[in-house]
Amino acid sequence: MDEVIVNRARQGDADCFAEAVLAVKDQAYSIAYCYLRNPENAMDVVCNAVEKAFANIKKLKDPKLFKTWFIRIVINECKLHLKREKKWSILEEAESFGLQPANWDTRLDLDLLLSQLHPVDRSMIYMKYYLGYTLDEISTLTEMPLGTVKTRIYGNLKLLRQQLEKKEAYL
Amino acid sequence: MSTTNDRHFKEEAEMARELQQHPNLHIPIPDELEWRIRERIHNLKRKRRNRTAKIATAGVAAVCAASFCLAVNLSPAFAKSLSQVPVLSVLVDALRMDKGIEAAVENGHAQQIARSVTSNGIQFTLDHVVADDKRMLLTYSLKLDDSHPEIKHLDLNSFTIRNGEGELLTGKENEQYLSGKIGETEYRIRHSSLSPVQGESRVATGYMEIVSSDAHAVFPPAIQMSISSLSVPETGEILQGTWETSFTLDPRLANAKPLEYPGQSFEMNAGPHQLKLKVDEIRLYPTMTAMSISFLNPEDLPAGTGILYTMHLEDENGKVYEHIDDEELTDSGNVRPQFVSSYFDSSQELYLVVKAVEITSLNGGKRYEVNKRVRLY
Repeated sequence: MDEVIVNRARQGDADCFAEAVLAVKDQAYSIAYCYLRNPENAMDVVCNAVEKAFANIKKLKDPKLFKTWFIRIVINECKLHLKREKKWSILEEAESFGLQPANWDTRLDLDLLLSQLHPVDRSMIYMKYYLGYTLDEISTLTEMPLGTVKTRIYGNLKLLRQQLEKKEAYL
Repeated sequence: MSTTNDRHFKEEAEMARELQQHPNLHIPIPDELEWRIRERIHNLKRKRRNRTAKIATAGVAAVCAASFCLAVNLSPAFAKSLSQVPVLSVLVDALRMDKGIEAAVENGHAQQIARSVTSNGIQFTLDHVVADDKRMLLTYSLKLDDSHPEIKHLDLNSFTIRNGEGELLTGKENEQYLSGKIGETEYRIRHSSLSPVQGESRVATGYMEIVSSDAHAVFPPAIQMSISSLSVPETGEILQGTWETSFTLDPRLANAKPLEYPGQSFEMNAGPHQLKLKVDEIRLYPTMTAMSISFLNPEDLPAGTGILYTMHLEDENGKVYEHIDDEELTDSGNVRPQFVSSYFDSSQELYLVVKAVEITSLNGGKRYEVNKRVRLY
Protein backbone atom coordinates (compact mmCIF):
# COMPACT_ATOMS: atom_id res chain seq x y z
CA MET A 1 0.00 0.00 0.00
CA ASP A 2 1.36 3.37 -1.04
CA GLU A 3 1.79 5.42 2.13
CA VAL A 4 1.66 8.70 0.21
CA ILE A 5 -1.79 7.80 -1.09
CA VAL A 6 -3.03 6.84 2.39
CA ASN A 7 -1.59 10.02 3.88
CA ARG A 8 -3.36 12.12 1.29
CA ALA A 9 -6.55 10.21 2.03
CA ARG A 10 -6.09 11.03 5.73
CA GLN A 11 -5.84 14.68 4.79
CA GLY A 12 -9.25 14.48 3.16
CA ASP A 13 -8.41 13.64 -0.46
CA ALA A 14 -11.39 11.51 -1.51
CA ASP A 15 -9.76 10.34 -4.74
CA CYS A 16 -6.78 8.99 -2.84
CA PHE A 17 -9.14 7.37 -0.36
CA ALA A 18 -10.88 5.66 -3.28
CA GLU A 19 -7.54 4.50 -4.64
CA ALA A 20 -6.51 3.08 -1.26
CA VAL A 21 -9.81 1.27 -0.78
CA LEU A 22 -9.90 -0.10 -4.33
CA ALA A 23 -6.42 -1.55 -3.81
CA VAL A 24 -7.77 -3.82 -1.06
CA LYS A 25 -11.32 -4.29 -2.32
CA ASP A 26 -10.84 -7.83 -3.60
CA GLN A 27 -9.54 -9.13 -0.28
CA ALA A 28 -12.19 -7.21 1.63
CA TYR A 29 -14.94 -8.67 -0.56
CA SER A 30 -13.56 -12.22 -0.35
CA ILE A 31 -13.51 -12.10 3.43
CA ALA A 32 -16.99 -10.58 3.55
CA TYR A 33 -18.23 -13.25 1.16
CA CYS A 34 -16.74 -15.93 3.42
CA TYR A 35 -18.71 -14.55 6.31
CA LEU A 36 -21.99 -13.99 4.51
CA ARG A 37 -22.03 -16.38 1.52
CA ASN A 38 -24.05 -13.91 -0.49
CA PRO A 39 -22.54 -11.57 -3.11
CA GLU A 40 -25.07 -8.76 -2.60
CA ASN A 41 -24.69 -8.79 1.17
CA ALA A 42 -20.91 -8.96 0.86
CA MET A 43 -20.92 -5.93 -1.45
CA ASP A 44 -23.23 -4.03 0.91
CA VAL A 45 -20.98 -4.79 3.85
CA VAL A 46 -17.87 -3.64 1.98
CA CYS A 47 -19.65 -0.43 0.98
CA ASN A 48 -20.75 0.19 4.58
CA ALA A 49 -17.16 -0.37 5.67
CA VAL A 50 -16.06 2.17 3.02
CA GLU A 51 -18.45 4.67 4.57
CA LYS A 52 -17.14 4.05 8.10
CA ALA A 53 -13.53 4.19 6.93
CA PHE A 54 -14.20 7.46 5.07
CA ALA A 55 -15.61 9.01 8.26
CA ASN A 56 -12.76 7.78 10.45
CA ILE A 57 -9.70 7.82 8.18
CA LYS A 58 -8.22 10.71 10.17
CA LYS A 59 -8.09 8.45 13.21
CA LEU A 60 -5.78 6.00 11.43
CA LYS A 61 -2.41 6.73 13.00
CA ASP A 62 -0.07 4.62 10.90
CA PRO A 63 -0.69 4.65 7.11
CA LYS A 64 1.16 1.33 6.85
CA LEU A 65 -1.72 -0.28 8.71
CA PHE A 66 -4.44 0.90 6.32
CA LYS A 67 -5.17 -2.56 4.92
CA THR A 68 -5.38 -4.21 8.34
CA TRP A 69 -7.49 -1.35 9.64
CA PHE A 70 -9.90 -1.47 6.72
CA ILE A 71 -10.28 -5.28 6.72
CA ARG A 72 -11.00 -5.07 10.43
CA ILE A 73 -13.84 -2.64 9.75
CA VAL A 74 -15.16 -5.04 7.10
CA ILE A 75 -15.09 -7.93 9.57
CA ASN A 76 -16.89 -5.88 12.21
CA GLU A 77 -19.51 -4.96 9.62
CA CYS A 78 -19.93 -8.64 8.77
CA LYS A 79 -20.47 -9.48 12.43
CA LEU A 80 -23.01 -6.69 12.72
CA HIS A 81 -24.80 -7.96 9.63
CA LEU A 82 -24.96 -11.52 10.96
CA LYS A 83 -26.13 -10.26 14.32
CA ARG A 84 -28.95 -8.34 12.65
CA GLU A 85 -29.94 -11.39 10.67
CA LYS A 86 -29.68 -13.40 13.90
CA LYS A 87 -28.53 -16.38 11.86
CA TRP A 88 -25.42 -16.97 13.90
CA SER A 89 -24.43 -16.02 17.38
CA ILE A 90 -21.19 -14.15 17.33
CA LEU A 91 -20.04 -15.60 20.61
CA GLU A 92 -16.36 -16.31 20.67
CA GLU A 93 -16.55 -19.26 23.11
CA ALA A 94 -14.65 -22.36 22.15
CA GLU A 95 -17.79 -24.44 21.86
CA SER A 96 -19.24 -22.17 19.21
CA PHE A 97 -16.83 -23.40 16.57
CA GLY A 98 -17.34 -26.42 14.45
CA LEU A 99 -19.65 -27.72 11.79
CA GLN A 100 -23.30 -27.15 12.28
CA PRO A 101 -25.44 -30.28 12.38
CA ALA A 102 -26.63 -30.96 8.87
CA ASN A 103 -27.13 -33.89 6.60
CA TRP A 104 -23.48 -34.73 6.57
CA ASP A 105 -23.85 -38.11 4.97
CA THR A 106 -25.46 -36.62 1.87
CA ARG A 107 -23.64 -33.26 1.71
CA LEU A 108 -20.02 -34.13 1.92
CA ASP A 109 -18.56 -31.82 -0.65
CA LEU A 110 -15.76 -29.67 0.74
CA ASP A 111 -17.46 -26.51 -0.38
CA LEU A 112 -20.61 -27.53 1.43
CA LEU A 113 -18.66 -28.52 4.49
CA LEU A 114 -17.06 -25.11 4.53
CA SER A 115 -20.43 -23.46 4.06
CA GLN A 116 -21.62 -25.24 7.22
CA LEU A 117 -18.83 -23.80 9.32
CA HIS A 118 -19.45 -20.89 11.59
CA PRO A 119 -18.83 -17.78 9.45
CA VAL A 120 -15.93 -16.72 11.67
CA ASP A 121 -14.24 -20.10 11.24
CA ARG A 122 -14.86 -20.18 7.51
CA SER A 123 -13.32 -16.78 7.00
CA MET A 124 -10.32 -17.63 9.18
CA ILE A 125 -9.60 -20.70 7.07
CA TYR A 126 -9.99 -18.64 3.93
CA MET A 127 -7.71 -15.92 5.23
CA LYS A 128 -5.08 -18.46 6.17
CA TYR A 129 -5.07 -20.65 3.09
CA TYR A 130 -6.19 -18.40 0.28
CA LEU A 131 -5.15 -14.93 1.28
CA GLY A 132 -1.96 -16.00 3.01
CA TYR A 133 -2.47 -14.17 6.29
CA THR A 134 -0.38 -15.34 9.22
CA LEU A 135 -2.04 -16.53 12.40
CA ASP A 136 -0.85 -13.32 14.09
CA GLU A 137 -2.50 -11.21 11.40
CA ILE A 138 -5.74 -13.17 11.66
CA SER A 139 -5.64 -12.67 15.42
CA THR A 140 -5.30 -8.90 14.91
CA LEU A 141 -8.02 -8.75 12.25
CA THR A 142 -10.58 -10.81 14.12
CA GLU A 143 -9.64 -9.33 17.50
CA MET A 144 -9.31 -12.84 18.93
CA PRO A 145 -6.44 -14.15 21.05
CA LEU A 146 -3.79 -15.99 19.05
CA GLY A 147 -4.44 -19.20 20.99
CA THR A 148 -8.14 -19.10 20.10
CA VAL A 149 -7.34 -18.52 16.43
CA LYS A 150 -5.00 -21.50 16.39
CA THR A 151 -7.47 -23.74 18.22
CA ARG A 152 -10.33 -22.83 15.93
CA ILE A 153 -8.38 -23.18 12.70
CA TYR A 154 -6.77 -26.47 13.65
CA GLY A 155 -9.96 -27.78 15.20
CA ASN A 156 -11.88 -27.09 12.04
CA LEU A 157 -9.16 -28.51 9.82
CA LYS A 158 -9.47 -31.69 11.79
CA LEU A 159 -13.23 -31.71 11.40
CA LEU A 160 -12.97 -31.09 7.66
CA ARG A 161 -10.42 -33.86 7.36
CA GLN A 162 -12.68 -36.30 9.20
CA GLN A 163 -15.66 -35.41 7.05
CA LEU A 164 -13.67 -35.77 3.83
CA GLU A 165 -12.45 -39.16 4.94
CA LYS A 166 -16.06 -40.07 5.61
CA LYS A 167 -16.85 -38.92 2.07
CA GLU A 168 -14.09 -41.09 0.62
CA ALA A 169 -15.49 -44.05 2.54
CA TYR A 170 -18.83 -43.52 0.79
CA LEU A 171 -17.30 -43.42 -2.70
CA MET B 1 6.11 -40.31 19.03
CA SER B 2 4.37 -37.42 17.40
CA THR B 3 3.62 -34.25 19.35
CA THR B 4 0.41 -32.22 19.12
CA ASN B 5 2.28 -29.64 17.02
CA ASP B 6 3.48 -32.32 14.61
CA ARG B 7 -0.07 -33.55 14.14
CA HIS B 8 -1.28 -30.02 13.57
CA PHE B 9 1.44 -29.44 11.04
CA LYS B 10 0.61 -32.63 9.17
CA GLU B 11 -3.10 -31.95 9.17
CA GLU B 12 -2.54 -28.38 8.13
CA ALA B 13 -0.32 -29.33 5.22
CA GLU B 14 -2.81 -31.92 3.96
CA MET B 15 -5.81 -29.68 4.31
CA ALA B 16 -4.01 -26.70 2.81
CA ARG B 17 -3.30 -28.78 -0.27
CA GLU B 18 -6.89 -29.96 -0.43
CA LEU B 19 -8.28 -26.49 0.00
CA GLN B 20 -5.99 -24.84 -2.50
CA GLN B 21 -6.80 -27.39 -5.18
CA HIS B 22 -10.53 -27.08 -4.76
CA PRO B 23 -11.91 -25.21 -7.78
CA ASN B 24 -15.21 -24.22 -6.16
CA LEU B 25 -13.48 -22.22 -3.49
CA HIS B 26 -12.30 -19.48 -5.79
CA ILE B 27 -14.40 -16.43 -4.92
CA PRO B 28 -15.10 -14.38 -8.05
CA ILE B 29 -15.05 -10.62 -7.51
CA PRO B 30 -18.16 -9.03 -9.09
CA ASP B 31 -17.45 -6.28 -11.62
CA GLU B 32 -20.12 -4.26 -9.87
CA LEU B 33 -18.09 -4.02 -6.66
CA GLU B 34 -15.76 -1.30 -7.92
CA TRP B 35 -18.67 0.68 -9.29
CA ARG B 36 -20.54 0.36 -5.97
CA ILE B 37 -17.52 1.52 -3.96
CA ARG B 38 -16.89 4.47 -6.25
CA GLU B 39 -20.53 5.41 -6.10
CA ARG B 40 -20.53 5.28 -2.30
CA ILE B 41 -17.43 7.47 -2.11
CA HIS B 42 -18.97 9.85 -4.65
CA ASN B 43 -22.05 10.16 -2.39
CA LEU B 44 -19.88 10.69 0.66
CA LYS B 45 -18.03 13.47 -1.16
CA ARG B 46 -21.35 15.10 -1.99
CA LYS B 47 -22.51 14.72 1.60
CA ARG B 48 -19.31 16.29 2.86
CA ARG B 49 -19.77 19.19 0.45
CA ASN B 50 -23.36 19.60 1.69
CA ARG B 51 -22.21 19.59 5.29
CA THR B 52 -19.62 22.23 4.52
CA ALA B 53 -22.29 24.18 2.74
CA LYS B 54 -24.53 24.14 5.79
CA ILE B 55 -21.94 26.17 7.70
CA ALA B 56 -22.51 29.13 5.43
CA THR B 57 -26.27 28.82 5.17
CA ALA B 58 -26.99 32.35 4.06
CA GLY B 59 -24.39 32.38 1.34
CA VAL B 60 -25.44 29.02 0.04
CA ALA B 61 -29.09 30.00 0.02
CA ALA B 62 -28.22 32.99 -2.14
CA VAL B 63 -26.23 30.86 -4.55
CA CYS B 64 -29.01 28.27 -4.69
CA ALA B 65 -31.54 30.97 -5.43
CA ALA B 66 -29.35 32.31 -8.22
CA SER B 67 -28.84 28.84 -9.63
CA PHE B 68 -32.52 28.20 -9.61
CA CYS B 69 -33.22 31.45 -11.41
CA LEU B 70 -30.80 30.28 -14.05
CA ALA B 71 -32.64 26.98 -14.33
CA VAL B 72 -35.93 28.82 -14.54
CA ASN B 73 -34.61 31.04 -17.29
CA LEU B 74 -33.24 28.14 -19.20
CA SER B 75 -36.24 25.99 -18.77
CA PRO B 76 -39.65 27.60 -18.17
CA ALA B 77 -41.45 24.28 -18.53
CA PHE B 78 -39.41 22.86 -15.71
CA ALA B 79 -40.13 25.81 -13.43
CA LYS B 80 -43.82 25.56 -14.16
CA SER B 81 -44.00 21.87 -13.45
CA LEU B 82 -42.40 22.23 -10.05
CA SER B 83 -43.68 25.63 -9.01
CA GLN B 84 -45.47 24.19 -5.99
CA VAL B 85 -42.28 23.10 -4.28
CA PRO B 86 -41.91 25.33 -1.21
CA VAL B 87 -38.16 25.77 -1.09
CA LEU B 88 -36.41 25.42 -4.38
CA SER B 89 -32.81 24.88 -3.47
CA VAL B 90 -33.33 21.18 -2.93
CA LEU B 91 -34.26 20.78 -6.55
CA VAL B 92 -31.29 22.75 -7.68
CA ASP B 93 -29.23 20.26 -5.78
CA ALA B 94 -31.06 17.36 -7.38
CA LEU B 95 -30.56 18.85 -10.82
CA ARG B 96 -26.91 19.43 -10.26
CA MET B 97 -26.83 15.77 -9.57
CA ASP B 98 -28.69 14.79 -12.65
CA LYS B 99 -29.79 16.54 -15.80
CA GLY B 100 -31.80 13.46 -16.70
CA ILE B 101 -34.32 14.31 -14.00
CA GLU B 102 -34.70 17.81 -15.40
CA ALA B 103 -35.40 16.45 -18.87
CA ALA B 104 -38.01 14.05 -17.48
CA VAL B 105 -39.71 16.79 -15.46
CA GLU B 106 -39.74 19.12 -18.46
CA ASN B 107 -41.65 16.44 -20.30
CA GLY B 108 -44.27 16.18 -17.58
CA HIS B 109 -42.83 13.03 -16.12
CA ALA B 110 -43.35 14.20 -12.52
CA GLN B 111 -46.24 13.62 -10.18
CA GLN B 112 -47.31 16.01 -7.48
CA ILE B 113 -48.20 14.23 -4.23
CA ALA B 114 -48.46 17.08 -1.68
CA ARG B 115 -49.52 14.87 1.25
CA SER B 116 -48.77 16.16 4.73
CA VAL B 117 -48.80 14.69 8.19
CA THR B 118 -47.91 16.43 11.47
CA SER B 119 -46.40 14.88 14.59
CA ASN B 120 -44.32 16.32 17.47
CA GLY B 121 -44.69 19.83 16.07
CA ILE B 122 -43.16 18.96 12.70
CA GLN B 123 -45.12 18.72 9.48
CA PHE B 124 -43.78 16.23 6.95
CA THR B 125 -44.90 16.68 3.34
CA LEU B 126 -44.17 14.30 0.52
CA ASP B 127 -44.06 16.76 -2.36
CA HIS B 128 -43.24 15.09 -5.67
CA VAL B 129 -42.17 11.88 -7.25
CA VAL B 130 -40.26 11.47 -10.50
CA ALA B 131 -40.00 7.81 -11.43
CA ASP B 132 -39.54 5.27 -14.14
CA ASP B 133 -38.67 1.58 -14.00
CA LYS B 134 -35.05 2.37 -13.23
CA ARG B 135 -35.26 4.76 -10.31
CA MET B 136 -37.49 6.92 -8.21
CA LEU B 137 -36.78 10.42 -6.92
CA LEU B 138 -38.89 11.65 -4.00
CA THR B 139 -38.88 15.27 -2.85
CA TYR B 140 -40.17 16.14 0.60
CA SER B 141 -40.20 18.90 3.19
CA LEU B 142 -40.20 19.23 6.96
CA LYS B 143 -41.87 22.31 8.47
CA LEU B 144 -41.13 23.13 12.11
CA ASP B 145 -43.59 24.93 14.38
CA ASP B 146 -42.68 27.29 17.25
CA SER B 147 -41.93 24.45 19.64
CA HIS B 148 -38.54 23.89 18.01
CA PRO B 149 -37.07 27.40 17.68
CA GLU B 150 -33.45 26.31 18.18
CA ILE B 151 -33.26 23.62 15.47
CA LYS B 152 -31.25 24.59 12.41
CA HIS B 153 -30.67 21.18 10.85
CA LEU B 154 -32.61 17.98 10.80
CA ASP B 155 -31.98 14.52 9.50
CA LEU B 156 -34.25 11.54 8.87
CA ASN B 157 -33.14 9.19 11.63
CA SER B 158 -35.37 6.19 11.21
CA PHE B 159 -37.77 5.55 8.36
CA THR B 160 -39.01 2.88 5.99
CA ILE B 161 -40.31 2.90 2.43
CA ARG B 162 -42.50 -0.08 1.61
CA ASN B 163 -44.67 -1.32 -1.21
CA GLY B 164 -48.45 -1.63 -0.96
CA GLU B 165 -48.12 -5.07 0.64
CA GLY B 166 -45.86 -3.71 3.36
CA GLU B 167 -42.66 -5.26 2.00
CA LEU B 168 -39.54 -3.19 2.63
CA LEU B 169 -37.91 -1.38 -0.29
CA THR B 170 -35.48 0.71 1.68
CA GLY B 171 -35.16 2.94 4.71
CA LYS B 172 -32.79 3.92 7.48
CA GLU B 173 -32.15 2.62 10.96
CA ASN B 174 -29.26 3.13 13.41
CA GLU B 175 -27.45 5.45 10.96
CA GLN B 176 -27.52 2.70 8.32
CA TYR B 177 -29.48 2.76 5.12
CA LEU B 178 -31.52 -0.39 4.66
CA SER B 179 -31.67 -2.40 1.51
CA GLY B 180 -34.84 -4.41 1.02
CA LYS B 181 -35.44 -7.30 -1.31
CA ILE B 182 -38.71 -8.01 -3.03
CA GLY B 183 -38.56 -11.16 -5.10
CA GLU B 184 -35.15 -11.07 -6.74
CA THR B 185 -34.90 -7.29 -6.77
CA GLU B 186 -33.00 -5.30 -4.20
CA TYR B 187 -33.75 -1.64 -3.60
CA ARG B 188 -31.54 0.97 -1.99
CA ILE B 189 -31.09 4.70 -1.59
CA ARG B 190 -28.46 6.06 -3.94
CA HIS B 191 -28.58 9.77 -3.11
CA SER B 192 -30.17 11.57 -0.23
CA SER B 193 -29.97 15.20 0.80
CA LEU B 194 -31.78 17.50 3.23
CA SER B 195 -31.33 21.26 3.32
CA PRO B 196 -30.94 23.31 6.51
CA VAL B 197 -34.12 24.69 8.07
CA GLN B 198 -34.67 27.84 6.04
CA GLY B 199 -36.57 31.10 6.10
CA GLU B 200 -39.32 32.44 8.31
CA SER B 201 -41.49 29.46 7.45
CA ARG B 202 -38.79 27.19 8.96
CA VAL B 203 -38.87 24.56 6.26
CA ALA B 204 -36.17 22.02 5.38
CA THR B 205 -36.49 20.32 2.02
CA GLY B 206 -34.95 17.10 0.90
CA TYR B 207 -34.90 14.49 -1.77
CA MET B 208 -33.91 10.89 -2.02
CA GLU B 209 -33.24 8.74 -5.02
CA ILE B 210 -34.11 5.05 -4.83
CA VAL B 211 -32.66 2.60 -7.32
CA SER B 212 -33.18 -1.08 -7.94
CA SER B 213 -30.47 -3.68 -8.46
CA ASP B 214 -32.18 -5.39 -11.35
CA ALA B 215 -32.22 -3.59 -14.67
CA HIS B 216 -35.45 -5.36 -15.62
CA ALA B 217 -37.24 -4.61 -12.34
CA VAL B 218 -40.07 -2.15 -11.95
CA PHE B 219 -41.00 -0.04 -8.96
CA PRO B 220 -44.17 -1.09 -7.16
CA PRO B 221 -47.09 1.19 -8.01
CA ALA B 222 -48.09 1.79 -4.37
CA ILE B 223 -45.57 3.26 -1.96
CA GLN B 224 -45.85 3.78 1.79
CA MET B 225 -43.42 5.97 3.67
CA SER B 226 -43.19 5.90 7.45
CA ILE B 227 -40.83 8.01 9.55
CA SER B 228 -40.51 7.16 13.26
CA SER B 229 -37.78 9.57 14.32
CA LEU B 230 -35.80 12.60 13.21
CA SER B 231 -32.40 13.62 14.55
CA VAL B 232 -30.81 16.97 15.25
CA PRO B 233 -27.18 16.63 14.08
CA GLU B 234 -25.79 19.43 16.29
CA THR B 235 -27.06 18.02 19.58
CA GLY B 236 -27.68 14.37 18.76
CA GLU B 237 -31.25 14.82 20.00
CA ILE B 238 -33.79 12.33 18.62
CA LEU B 239 -37.31 13.55 17.94
CA GLN B 240 -39.79 10.70 18.06
CA GLY B 241 -43.02 10.88 16.10
CA THR B 242 -45.17 9.13 13.55
CA TRP B 243 -45.16 10.56 10.08
CA GLU B 244 -46.84 8.17 7.67
CA THR B 245 -48.07 8.74 4.17
CA SER B 246 -48.61 6.78 0.99
CA PHE B 247 -49.25 7.36 -2.67
CA THR B 248 -49.96 5.47 -5.85
CA LEU B 249 -47.79 6.10 -8.86
CA ASP B 250 -49.57 7.87 -11.68
CA PRO B 251 -50.08 5.29 -14.49
CA ARG B 252 -48.24 7.69 -16.81
CA LEU B 253 -45.12 7.15 -14.73
CA ALA B 254 -45.69 3.50 -13.88
CA ASN B 255 -46.39 2.50 -17.46
CA ALA B 256 -43.52 4.34 -19.12
CA LYS B 257 -41.59 1.25 -20.19
CA PRO B 258 -38.00 1.58 -21.38
CA LEU B 259 -37.23 1.39 -25.07
CA GLU B 260 -34.71 -1.36 -25.61
CA TYR B 261 -32.16 -1.72 -28.38
CA PRO B 262 -29.65 -4.50 -29.00
CA GLY B 263 -25.99 -3.75 -28.51
CA GLN B 264 -23.06 -4.09 -30.87
CA SER B 265 -19.28 -4.42 -30.92
CA PHE B 266 -16.83 -1.78 -32.06
CA GLU B 267 -13.13 -1.05 -32.06
CA MET B 268 -11.16 2.14 -31.58
CA ASN B 269 -7.55 3.20 -31.33
CA ALA B 270 -6.28 5.08 -28.30
CA GLY B 271 -2.69 5.94 -29.27
CA PRO B 272 -0.83 2.64 -29.49
CA HIS B 273 -3.70 0.70 -27.90
CA GLN B 274 -6.40 -0.96 -29.93
CA LEU B 275 -9.49 -1.29 -27.75
CA LYS B 276 -12.22 -3.79 -28.58
CA LEU B 277 -15.52 -2.91 -26.93
CA LYS B 278 -19.08 -4.11 -26.94
CA VAL B 279 -22.19 -2.18 -26.04
CA ASP B 280 -24.15 -4.95 -24.35
CA GLU B 281 -27.55 -3.32 -24.21
CA ILE B 282 -29.19 0.06 -24.48
CA ARG B 283 -32.27 1.08 -22.55
CA LEU B 284 -33.97 4.41 -22.90
CA TYR B 285 -35.84 5.36 -19.73
CA PRO B 286 -37.65 8.67 -19.21
CA THR B 287 -34.99 9.85 -16.75
CA MET B 288 -31.89 8.42 -18.38
CA THR B 289 -30.41 6.25 -21.08
CA ALA B 290 -28.57 3.32 -19.52
CA MET B 291 -26.13 0.96 -21.15
CA SER B 292 -23.30 -1.33 -20.26
CA ILE B 293 -20.06 -1.40 -22.20
CA SER B 294 -17.69 -4.35 -21.94
CA PHE B 295 -14.00 -4.13 -22.68
CA LEU B 296 -13.16 -7.28 -24.62
CA ASN B 297 -9.36 -7.30 -24.75
CA PRO B 298 -8.07 -6.32 -21.29
CA GLU B 299 -5.13 -8.65 -21.81
CA ASP B 300 -3.73 -6.17 -24.35
CA LEU B 301 -3.20 -3.51 -21.67
CA PRO B 302 -0.53 -3.69 -18.96
CA ALA B 303 -1.64 -5.00 -15.55
CA GLY B 304 -2.84 -2.33 -13.15
CA THR B 305 -4.08 -0.10 -15.96
CA GLY B 306 -7.41 1.70 -15.79
CA ILE B 307 -9.53 3.25 -18.52
CA LEU B 308 -11.36 6.54 -18.26
CA TYR B 309 -13.86 7.30 -21.01
CA THR B 310 -15.13 10.75 -21.98
CA MET B 311 -18.31 10.21 -23.93
CA HIS B 312 -21.82 11.38 -24.72
CA LEU B 313 -24.74 10.44 -26.92
CA GLU B 314 -25.79 12.39 -29.98
CA ASP B 315 -28.79 12.14 -32.29
CA GLU B 316 -28.89 12.55 -36.07
CA ASN B 317 -29.34 16.33 -35.73
CA GLY B 318 -26.31 16.76 -33.50
CA LYS B 319 -28.31 17.15 -30.26
CA VAL B 320 -26.05 16.08 -27.40
CA TYR B 321 -27.19 13.94 -24.43
CA GLU B 322 -24.57 14.33 -21.75
CA HIS B 323 -23.01 11.67 -19.58
CA ILE B 324 -24.79 12.05 -16.22
CA ASP B 325 -22.33 10.50 -13.80
CA ASP B 326 -18.76 11.57 -13.34
CA GLU B 327 -16.34 9.78 -15.58
CA GLU B 328 -15.90 6.31 -14.24
CA LEU B 329 -12.47 4.82 -13.83
CA THR B 330 -12.47 1.05 -13.91
CA ASP B 331 -9.60 -1.35 -13.95
CA SER B 332 -11.66 -3.88 -15.86
CA GLY B 333 -12.56 -1.36 -18.57
CA ASN B 334 -16.24 -2.31 -18.19
CA VAL B 335 -18.56 0.61 -17.52
CA ARG B 336 -22.27 1.20 -17.05
CA PRO B 337 -22.67 4.79 -18.16
CA GLN B 338 -25.89 6.75 -17.86
CA PHE B 339 -26.82 9.62 -20.13
CA VAL B 340 -29.49 12.30 -20.30
CA SER B 341 -32.43 10.56 -21.88
CA SER B 342 -33.62 11.02 -25.43
CA TYR B 343 -36.80 9.18 -24.47
CA PHE B 344 -39.11 12.09 -25.15
CA ASP B 345 -37.40 13.19 -28.37
CA SER B 346 -38.31 11.81 -31.72
CA SER B 347 -34.73 11.10 -32.73
CA GLN B 348 -34.43 8.49 -35.46
CA GLU B 349 -30.78 7.72 -34.87
CA LEU B 350 -28.63 7.65 -31.76
CA TYR B 351 -24.83 7.62 -31.66
CA LEU B 352 -22.37 6.91 -28.87
CA VAL B 353 -19.53 9.40 -29.22
CA VAL B 354 -16.32 8.54 -27.36
CA LYS B 355 -14.43 11.83 -27.35
CA ALA B 356 -11.36 10.69 -25.46
CA VAL B 357 -9.89 7.79 -23.56
CA GLU B 358 -7.42 8.10 -20.73
CA ILE B 359 -5.27 5.08 -20.03
CA THR B 360 -4.27 5.43 -16.39
CA SER B 361 -1.89 3.77 -14.02
CA LEU B 362 -0.67 4.58 -10.53
CA ASN B 363 2.18 6.54 -12.10
CA GLY B 364 -0.16 8.84 -14.00
CA GLY B 365 -2.22 8.65 -17.14
CA LYS B 366 -2.16 9.46 -20.83
CA ARG B 367 -5.15 10.91 -22.58
CA TYR B 368 -5.89 10.16 -26.22
CA GLU B 369 -8.40 12.04 -28.36
CA VAL B 370 -10.47 9.32 -30.00
CA ASN B 371 -13.62 10.89 -31.49
CA LYS B 372 -15.14 7.50 -32.18
CA ARG B 373 -18.76 7.60 -33.30
CA VAL B 374 -20.83 4.41 -33.06
CA ARG B 375 -24.39 4.24 -34.32
CA LEU B 376 -26.55 2.58 -31.67
CA TYR B 377 -29.78 2.57 -33.63
